Amino acid sequence: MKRTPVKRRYDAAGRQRAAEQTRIAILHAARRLFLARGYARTTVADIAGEAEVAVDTVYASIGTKQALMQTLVEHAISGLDRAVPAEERDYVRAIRAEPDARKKLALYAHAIRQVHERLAPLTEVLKAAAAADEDLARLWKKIADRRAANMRLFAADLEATGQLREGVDVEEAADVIWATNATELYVLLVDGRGWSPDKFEVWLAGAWMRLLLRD
Amino acid sequence: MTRTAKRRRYESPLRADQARLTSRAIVEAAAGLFSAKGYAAVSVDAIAEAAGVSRATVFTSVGGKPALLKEAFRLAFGRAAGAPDVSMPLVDRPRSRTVRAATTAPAYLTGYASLCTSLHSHMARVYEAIREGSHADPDVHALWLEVNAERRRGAATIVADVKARARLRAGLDEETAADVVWLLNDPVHFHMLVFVRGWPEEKFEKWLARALEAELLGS
Repeated sequence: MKRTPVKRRYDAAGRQRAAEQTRIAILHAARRLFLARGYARTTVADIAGEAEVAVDTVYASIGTKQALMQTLVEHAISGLDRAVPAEERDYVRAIRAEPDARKKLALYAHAIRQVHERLAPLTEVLKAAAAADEDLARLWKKIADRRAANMRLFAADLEATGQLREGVDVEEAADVIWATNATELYVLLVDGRGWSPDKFEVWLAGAWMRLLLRD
Repeated sequence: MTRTAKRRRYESPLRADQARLTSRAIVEAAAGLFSAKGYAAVSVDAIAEAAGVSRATVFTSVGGKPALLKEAFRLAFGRAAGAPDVSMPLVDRPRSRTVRAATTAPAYLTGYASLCTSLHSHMARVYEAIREGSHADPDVHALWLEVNAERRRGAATIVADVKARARLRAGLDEETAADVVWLLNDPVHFHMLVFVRGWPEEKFEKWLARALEAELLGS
């Protein structure tokens, strides 16, 4: 009787670790298959097979195929094996702490480039599938809307430096950054025109400075 | 081949006019629907119904969905550029000649931004339908590559014209400059800022002129 609770605590910790490893293995399998075959041609059973787990484990661990895609998108955005709200991301904290607008934009361009590198392949798969799948179309719209709201906060932070160009208000700065940091534009330049991610980052930071800040 | 040509001679001019009107009505209907709903959400049946013809007539007089989208784009683009002949290259059209008459680079870019804005206002929605369809349909993907390549050729012309009037921003090579013009004249910006964010067209036009000037000449 007395030893049981101790043993249970030990097992619980071990089980939690194992569950987390299973979850990550399933997500990696899902990402590999979505990128290789597209969303529509990948089944939950395929993902279970690739991750070497039972189909029920996929549902219990993460959920439906759509939940898998959503989780992968969140991880691509956060760069971690979990979703992180914008205000808790490291680069958001670094940008807030930085007093100079040019450096804030450079930090953000660097962060966005890393997000695009992880997210762009997934975005292409998601957009192909979203045309025929309303749930995915809604997911994509939700992410775009969230990005627009975050840009308003970022633009307000930029304005507080007093370095915004005359005639550019918070709304305009937010809209311009929102329009130019879309993954689609990264895909056009990097996949379409062969730009390196480095070249893209330097250009994006410079373009924002030229467009938004005083000389 | 010989038989087809012979048979054509027997067709009445009236019937040929009628065929042109029918295909025009179908393409108009397709352009309207693709603009409103995107590519995947529009069926050939819906286009047939909107044009008041049968599904079979849509296929025989224009073609399947990718062909309908291509013709819808040509129609929207031709109309936006103000030329009855849609095959006329953009740079040769009257409005482009007006833009190219500008003697200074900033005046040239202001004129070009104005031309882009009016083009985008007519065809940005069809353009987005092509972008959307390109992810799922190989024929639409081919059309997407074609219109993008055409835009890139146009962008190189713009950079050459600007270079003939001013010095490019320090450190900016011509290839990169053309890529940036190509990125900025993508109708996606008009779509996002005017259709999604509700900017008035005049605000967009001014922004685009300033963005082009800042990118090519420096701010």
